[in-house]
Amino acid sequence: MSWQIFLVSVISSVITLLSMAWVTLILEKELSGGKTNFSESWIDLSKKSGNLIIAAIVVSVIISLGTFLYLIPGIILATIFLPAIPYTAIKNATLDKALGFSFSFVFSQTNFLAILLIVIVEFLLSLLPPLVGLFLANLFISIWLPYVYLKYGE
Amino acid sequence: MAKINIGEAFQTPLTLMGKTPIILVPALIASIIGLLLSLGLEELCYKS
Repeated sequence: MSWQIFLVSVISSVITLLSMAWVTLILEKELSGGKTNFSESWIDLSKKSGNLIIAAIVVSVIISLGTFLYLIPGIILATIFLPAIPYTAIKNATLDKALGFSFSFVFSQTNFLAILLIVIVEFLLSLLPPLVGLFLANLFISIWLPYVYLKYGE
Repeated sequence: MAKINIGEAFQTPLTLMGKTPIILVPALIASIIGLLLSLGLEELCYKS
């Protein structure tokens, strides 16, 4: 039974990370002053889907393993590895480059604390009743984290 | 890589959401799929 819970948790996390990648592409256009086009961002997402799916699966497995061991390692691992997803969405980077960037971005200056705060808020939102909690948590992590990457990570 | 300004990083996305509401769509889709998955899991737990 526990492996089924783990599997559902990984699949759900992969979908959230892919939605985060999609939002990153929309936000990048918006922040660079271009006109945001929904279908164009979808096509762009599909072009980068190979690297994105690999990154999303690996990051989801790492975070889910951490969460299953105890909650705190999951939160810390999410803080360290989540920025790899917006980076992959923009640069179409391979997994090793994305994880390397994520590590150096999180540990440069006091960025760890800021990203940790975003992850903790997302976790607290996910504790709200199912539909509202899930929506708000997904919304929060898939908009705030790409913004932080686009504004401070580039 | 710049240092993250926490106040700005929390405030600006709210403004962006008002300006570009389509950024809500991917999160909405992910939430619906996530909810269906958790409902499926609940059903599985109930059956066993």
